[in-house]
Amino acid sequence: MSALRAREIPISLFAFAVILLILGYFTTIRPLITAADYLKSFGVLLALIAVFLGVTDVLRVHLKHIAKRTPRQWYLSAWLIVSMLMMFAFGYVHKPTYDVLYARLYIPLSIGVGASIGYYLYSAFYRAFRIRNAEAAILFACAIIVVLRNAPVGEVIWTGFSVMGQWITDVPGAGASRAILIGAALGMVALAIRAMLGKEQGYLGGE
Amino acid sequence: MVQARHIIYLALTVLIAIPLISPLGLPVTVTRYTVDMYDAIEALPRGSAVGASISWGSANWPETGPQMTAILQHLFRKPVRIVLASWTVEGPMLFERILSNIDKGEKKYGDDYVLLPYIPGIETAFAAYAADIVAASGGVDYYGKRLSELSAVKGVKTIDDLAYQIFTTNTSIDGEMRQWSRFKVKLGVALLGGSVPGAMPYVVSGRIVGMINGIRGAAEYELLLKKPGLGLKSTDAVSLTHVLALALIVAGNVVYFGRRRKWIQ
Repeated sequence: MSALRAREIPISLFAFAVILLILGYFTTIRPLITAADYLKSFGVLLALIAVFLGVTDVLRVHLKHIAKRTPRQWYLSAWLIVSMLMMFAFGYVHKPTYDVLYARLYIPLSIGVGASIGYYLYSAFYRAFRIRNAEAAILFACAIIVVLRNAPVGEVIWTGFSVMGQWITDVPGAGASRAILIGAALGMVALAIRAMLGKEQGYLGGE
Repeated sequence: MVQARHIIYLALTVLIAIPLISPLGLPVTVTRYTVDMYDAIEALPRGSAVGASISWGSANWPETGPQMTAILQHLFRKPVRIVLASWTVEGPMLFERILSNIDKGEKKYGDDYVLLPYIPGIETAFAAYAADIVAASGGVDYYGKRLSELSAVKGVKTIDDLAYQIFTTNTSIDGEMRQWSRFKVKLGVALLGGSVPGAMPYVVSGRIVGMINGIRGAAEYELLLKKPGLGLKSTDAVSLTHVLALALIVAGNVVYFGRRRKWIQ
């Protein structure tokens, strides 16, 4: 195994970054806090590079489809590249056209795609929610109250929906969310320790 | 052949369209958490800086757009400086769209408000923003002007230099809370109705002061501002479609159990 492929290097870098960030978070030692802050800004820079990589990867994948004339795909790939480059060019050359394309074309299309999910959701309400046992019945009863608390029509039907819905959200809802939150946080700490010890290597890629 | 889903799709379309064409005018009461955000903005000291951020894309515009519009309209009425930050690529464009739809009063870009560029990295970006707002933005605003030359961010370094940070999101708020909870800044949130349960531990504990819950929350805020907008227009449709959702669950169960017990063929 070559030195560059050695797992120890990325694991050490990961452990160094985690320890530095933890020390920056929990201590009041100024140099450590400053170093941790620099690391966070560096993280933003890395994310920017990832955005650039994403764009080049989209181009690479779709240019390959065009070159191979992949059936039922190549013309969609071509359209994607043309759209992407067009928005990119207008963004730099002519901002008013870019704004019109964004506001009058992209936003309505995006909202339309998002809203279409709602239709599937409503179809699922009919087909998937089965009240087979006591737990499902309790869930449905709570859903009725909270839904009618959120919808103004609920208070027209009965003002109690508002009070009961608020209580469900504030007390059992918040309690259950808190339990999930604490459980997830403990899991995250365990994952970070495993990753620092090299027992969790999924983030390094490969098998 | 007409199937159940076709009828559901048609019913949903009709129930959304009817109140938009002819509003039912169902009364909307203002809930406590919405009032908390309104009061927090009302109590902002003159000249203080306030942060507002977007963590959503245009697909969420129908719910989060009216929320941010109402919040910014309120902030632009107050004698405060406003720092607009984006954690999604679309964020700055969405802010521009909102800014073009509100009354900005006497406020001038650069002096009273500033639009930061997209800060990538999601949770890393939240952390970097909290530690150093100017550095996280690369030292420039969305239009490439140097932030050091803009008085809107004068004296603003960390998130603690803001009097209030309001964030709108289409997902869980855990990332923001993990990175911002240790700071002293007052936090407010506007989020999709489906994300509210996950936010409740922070709201009931008082760490978050003010929460706008979905499109209904936007409508409540518009009522408080006395400036009706898309939020109030949408609430009747919300009422009818919510009732449809419950009716569909009941109908689905009646058909399911009816078939099992041979009541229905």
